[in-house]
Amino acid sequence: MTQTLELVATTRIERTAARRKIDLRPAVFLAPFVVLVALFTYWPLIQLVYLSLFKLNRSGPDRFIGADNFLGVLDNAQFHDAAYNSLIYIFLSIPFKVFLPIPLAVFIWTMGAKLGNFYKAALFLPTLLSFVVVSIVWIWMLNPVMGLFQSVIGPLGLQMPSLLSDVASAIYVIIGVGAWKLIGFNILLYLAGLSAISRDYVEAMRLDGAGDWVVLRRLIVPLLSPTILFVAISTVVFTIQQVFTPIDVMTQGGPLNSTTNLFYLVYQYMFESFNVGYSAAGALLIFLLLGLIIAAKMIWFEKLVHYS
Amino acid sequence: MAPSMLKLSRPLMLVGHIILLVTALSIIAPLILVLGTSFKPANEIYGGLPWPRKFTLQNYYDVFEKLPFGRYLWNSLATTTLRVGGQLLIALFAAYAFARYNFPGRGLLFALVLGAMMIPPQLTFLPIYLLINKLGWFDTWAGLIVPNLAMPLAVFLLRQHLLAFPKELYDAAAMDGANELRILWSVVLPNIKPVMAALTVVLFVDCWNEYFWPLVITETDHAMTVQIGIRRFLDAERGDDLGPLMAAVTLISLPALAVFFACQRQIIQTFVSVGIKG
Amino acid sequence: MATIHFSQVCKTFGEVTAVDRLDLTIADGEFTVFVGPSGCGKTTSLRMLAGLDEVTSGRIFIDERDVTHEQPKARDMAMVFQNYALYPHMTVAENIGFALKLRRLGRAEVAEQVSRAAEMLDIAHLLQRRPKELSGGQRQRVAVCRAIVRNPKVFLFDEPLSNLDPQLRTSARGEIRALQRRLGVTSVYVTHDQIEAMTMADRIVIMRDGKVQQIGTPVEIFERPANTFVAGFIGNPPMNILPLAALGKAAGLSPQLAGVDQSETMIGIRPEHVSFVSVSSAATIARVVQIEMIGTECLVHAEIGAERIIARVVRPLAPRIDETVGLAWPDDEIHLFDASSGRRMGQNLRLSA
Repeated sequence: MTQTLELVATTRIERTAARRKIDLRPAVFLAPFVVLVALFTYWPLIQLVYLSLFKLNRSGPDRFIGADNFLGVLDNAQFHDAAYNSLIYIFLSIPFKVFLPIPLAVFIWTMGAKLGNFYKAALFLPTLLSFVVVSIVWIWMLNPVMGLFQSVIGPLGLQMPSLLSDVASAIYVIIGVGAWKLIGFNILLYLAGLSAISRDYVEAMRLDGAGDWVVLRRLIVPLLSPTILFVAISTVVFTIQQVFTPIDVMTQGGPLNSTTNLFYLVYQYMFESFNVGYSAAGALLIFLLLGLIIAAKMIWFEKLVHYS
Repeated sequence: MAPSMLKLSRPLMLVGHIILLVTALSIIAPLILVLGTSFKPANEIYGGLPWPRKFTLQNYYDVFEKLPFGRYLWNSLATTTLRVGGQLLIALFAAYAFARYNFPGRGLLFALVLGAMMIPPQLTFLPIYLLINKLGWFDTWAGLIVPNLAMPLAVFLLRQHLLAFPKELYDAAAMDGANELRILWSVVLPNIKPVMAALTVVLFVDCWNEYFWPLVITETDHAMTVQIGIRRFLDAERGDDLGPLMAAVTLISLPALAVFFACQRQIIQTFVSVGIKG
Repeated sequence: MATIHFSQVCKTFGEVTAVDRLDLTIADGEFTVFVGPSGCGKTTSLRMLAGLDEVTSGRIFIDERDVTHEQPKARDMAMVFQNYALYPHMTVAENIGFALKLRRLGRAEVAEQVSRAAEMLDIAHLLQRRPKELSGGQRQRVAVCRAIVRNPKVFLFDEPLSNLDPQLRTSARGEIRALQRRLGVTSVYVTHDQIEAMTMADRIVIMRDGKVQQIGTPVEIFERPANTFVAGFIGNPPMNILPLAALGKAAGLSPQLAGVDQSETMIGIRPEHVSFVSVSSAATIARVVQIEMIGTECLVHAEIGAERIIARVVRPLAPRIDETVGLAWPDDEIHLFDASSGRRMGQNLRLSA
């Protein structure tokens, strides 16, 4: 027996048939975030390009000046110093921030939970301190007159050199301070990657007669390579901006521009020479530089990374 | 962390302990000295001992005496609280929309969220600075807070957690007569408390420690935060007034450290997944 | 107290039609079961009735009121979910009372109604526990309790028993049905289990690929399946459905089958109606290939040429494997279906209907 159908209230069906609601709820929930991201992330990107190509004019329309800002920036000796230093910051940070944490993380990984947690917490401490605080502490420690190191080596008849006012050493101090602050955080990233490695692999390799070195080389490093790539890329992207604070607090780019970098220069263009166009062009050049380094790195890593 | 996943040979282990111990000491020792110095009376500051012979709080009084540190603390505390509160609410709303609804353009919009994560602030600070000036928010709390309210990383993290949330519970709550806000507040939020708590701490530390943005957007005591305040103090004294400086350093580091030690494990995990920028 | 009416209700997800022109009226107090294989559209139909999924076209009425675009909360229905959907952070009492709290009932009144409903389901002693401290059966009771406490117009059940073990499922079936009879609330129940459908329903709606196959009482559906799909879906083991031509001369012997085009017709015979007779007197000869013991009865699989037929007989009557047997069935227990459309044909062929 098939159901005999009766349409109740046929007229009402027709009357309401056209009504159809669009679900506005997702739009309402997303609106604040989308508006803010559009206004404070994507719009500035477009604006930045504009600022780099036009000369702002208070009393009339802005004037298109093409690549003048870029050419001006590129022609600037300060810019050359800053670009050179930026590369030093990035590439000298890599051994400390990308490679050194790997063995440290592996050591912690193989330890018992108790000791491992102590080391983890101790190494993580600087992540919680602000870069201003870290910089101040290091200024004090390195102070050649009344610093901590001087008070240790002074009694031995030695004199602490003034590392921060020496063109040859200041940039390395800042790189060291940056590494000191961030090494613990990168160790944690590696520990997260290590915790995903199954003990079965290790045991299987052990049964095949592999020693420490072989296990590290052939198993741990390959399985960790996605994390290594991630840490390497974040180091490239963020180092220039991370060292802004130690540069500003410890040296202001000096002595003799030996510690300035592109981001610091862009900041100075804007807030010291009030040259908006140079600042915008400089920011875009940073973007270009980072893009190039990352692209090169990706290609180089392609062979090494093992995605499981 | 599972112990003994990989047993290293004894000599290698010894090397590991030595390296880790040295690294850990290089971190802990200076911090203990900072703390000790902050409690030293003026005549002991340049002595060799790490800890004060005579314990004093004078340096802490001096901090508030020599600079409007109370005002800085208030600015930092208020703007951090408002900003973190706003970040959490806005991110939770957005993550909820992404996780719960299927709407046209969702994929594209989420790609834009991921994209925003990759854009370093060093690229966008200049136009934002000009915009804030145009809005008349220079040297105000609003200038500190508003440009940072949308936190793509937080949206990403919360969405991950909400995707694991059983969809039937949304339906059950809707059948029980709850509207969307009520579902979010009474059903979703209680079940993601741990990640919200950890995210709160991470965002708090991130904001509290921020240097660059307050540096460019504040100018006077009206909006200046502790990080900029201590920087000014350093400039003014250039290390001649070590006691109060170290007291100030201790004071502004305390909130983050306190929260961290209160709920260490969970926060470490969230730190890792959020990836703080330093 | 409510009647429900679906009028030409469709639901499409992109290119896929999940529900195709559903027309159905459910009477006040009736217990209607939607049954069908997974993906047949039964759950989607239920969710559209609940207001959890928007209809693509068509109307839904409750008590003559068009609720097609109403929010779930405006429809006054309660639902029991497949995974129970208990709020993990709330106690059992809070779970049950949540809807009442949202209606701004006073604390005392909520507590009183919750405990009354809990008594009814025998879970009063669990009220302070959290869902994760409960067994599967207890969770299921809490979920039912959460539905009845609101005294809704309609109960909706979305495979509420599929996560229970078989014994519990049998007893829960009876309890849900008894409870619904006592409360007299119109109910719509979705399941993929034909036994649940047959034992619980006042009326069954069988669906497949979004289309209703048949609507009727369990007896109607069992005795007069509208097509080969229904015939094969209901009954355990399912009805034997063979091309009429395969039965050879047996087909010609049956007076009802005179004049039917053998090549265009399928014949359906329920296993319990097949019996074994001596080869010499039988019109249909088969060879036994497999015997399954299921208690006092056994299932005998036999081959007629390339076709297979299953007979359900008491054990002493079972033949042996490889034995050649004659098959017989009462003439009034056969069903005929059109071979190409699968539809039931010759409505008056069955004498006992």
